[in-house]
Amino acid sequence: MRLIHLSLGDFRNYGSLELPLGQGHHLLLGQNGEGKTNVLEAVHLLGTGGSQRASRDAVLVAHDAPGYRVGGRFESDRESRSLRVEVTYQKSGGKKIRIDKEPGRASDLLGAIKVVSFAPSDVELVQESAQVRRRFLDLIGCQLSPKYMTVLREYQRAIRQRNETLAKSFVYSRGKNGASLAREPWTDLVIEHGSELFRRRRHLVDQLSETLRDLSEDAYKGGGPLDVTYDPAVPWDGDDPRPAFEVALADSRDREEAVGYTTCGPHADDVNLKLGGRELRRFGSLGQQQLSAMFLKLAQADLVRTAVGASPILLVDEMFAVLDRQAAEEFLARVEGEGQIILATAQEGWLGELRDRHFHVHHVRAGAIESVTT
Amino acid sequence: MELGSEALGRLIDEFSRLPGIGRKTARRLAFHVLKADLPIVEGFARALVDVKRLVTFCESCHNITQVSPCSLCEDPRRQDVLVCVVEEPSDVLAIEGTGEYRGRYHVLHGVLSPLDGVGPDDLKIKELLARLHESRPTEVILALNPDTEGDATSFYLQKLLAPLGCVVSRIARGIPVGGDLEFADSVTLGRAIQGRERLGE
Repeated sequence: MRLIHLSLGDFRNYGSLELPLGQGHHLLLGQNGEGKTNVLEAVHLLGTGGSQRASRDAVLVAHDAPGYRVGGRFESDRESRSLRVEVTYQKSGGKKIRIDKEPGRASDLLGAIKVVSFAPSDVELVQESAQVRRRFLDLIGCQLSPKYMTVLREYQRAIRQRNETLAKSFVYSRGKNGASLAREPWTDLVIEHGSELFRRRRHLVDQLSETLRDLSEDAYKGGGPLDVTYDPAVPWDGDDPRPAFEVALADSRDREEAVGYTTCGPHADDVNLKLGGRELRRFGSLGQQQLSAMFLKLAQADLVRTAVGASPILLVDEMFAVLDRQAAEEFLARVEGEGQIILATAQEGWLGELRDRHFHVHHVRAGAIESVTT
Repeated sequence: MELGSEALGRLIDEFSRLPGIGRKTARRLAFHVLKADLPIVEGFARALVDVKRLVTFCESCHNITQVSPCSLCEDPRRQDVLVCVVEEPSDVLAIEGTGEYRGRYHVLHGVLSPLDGVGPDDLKIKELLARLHESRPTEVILALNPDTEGDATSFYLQKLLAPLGCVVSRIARGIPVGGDLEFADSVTLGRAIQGRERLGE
């Protein structure tokens, strides 16, 4: 799959941009703050329905504009038919997704277009809280299967409803056992979707772990390989997490009534990362952590490729700032034979090397892009 | 702006209270009323008052009706052994439109949703139980919307109804007739595959 045309309207620092992208890889070259990352962010938005940097759409809108528009035309290797995708957002009317002019949802984007983003901030996967790692797992899960997204959505909705009965239990305390009776259907739903989510996450981490072992075997010069294990909020034996989850929920009843929200469930999962048997977050050097974060993303790309039989689009933001020359070259060697790469950097020193690797060059200056014709 | 008439101002205020009607539209409607013939306006006013005065809810199924019990509950040709539970009166209309169902109805007037402050006591659930205890149907069909809240309400009812010993079923979810599989969203298609039916039965 590759992006052959990107068009932006009032998005970040772009007033209006039409960017044709031909075959091959693409290099966005420009100083910091000129708008390289914004282009990658727009493509990520087309592939996932959301931004990896901003949690609110309003901040993506160019200064003073009422909304933004991001449009892309994609082509797959197998079909000659191209796919038109558009995400628009109005501050007054919300977000709309269109795929070949038909209204769609974020799950349709995740199903139709596969992107994997690399950025220096990926190191947060190692350093930050479990929430970052859960979000990473969930993104892969949704890219691999639309069912994962449904399960996740329904679980999150059930948890919100259930938490409401815990937070405002006085409202439902009419009659004997009123509050716990009102909570019961939500508990059932939380158990049903939560067990499914536990199961799917375990399977996902197993796949991730296997892929990572193969990828990172020799990368740490004797220090590796990178090992990832699932750390579910409720451990279980056998195939079905349901019985253990039921018991854990029943056991946490007093506690959740005291704090007013559901304390155990997949929303409290984590993933452990170890390098040579030692916890990466605490014992890994910054360099090792950055390299590991990159391998996690490479593993994501690998899983997506295996699942859909085509390479995802790789969006690579300023990786040369965190990888040393050798690691960067190894990275390029690994990915250049794959699908389309769109790479952004401020380091002109890479220009020659990337030209040799047949990257098309686009100069980014103050919200405008000048493509070098070759 | 001076309207020159206090009555006209009042009418504009009333119109603009309606959902989806802004100040400008309210003014246009009011001037339209002003221009219309008196019998038409009187008919309109009567219709407004009548709908409030005459339409009530059926004491048995809680659907909207002018006489309680409603015609659907009184119809001797309908089967008492089947009861279909729906969220809103409009859902009764939708199911009646299919011509496929000849049982009784029960309207809950909503679904469980703590986030919207709706608990079991806010729905016609007690009434449903009391009714089923008396009529003892063989099957209760839960025809609620296929979303999280509809599912939770179905779960809740399923447990409550278990002691009655009747069959509790839920409407199937899947691909619309005349639809194209290629264009079905993946979630619906996935559910349709899960709930597939065997041919020749």
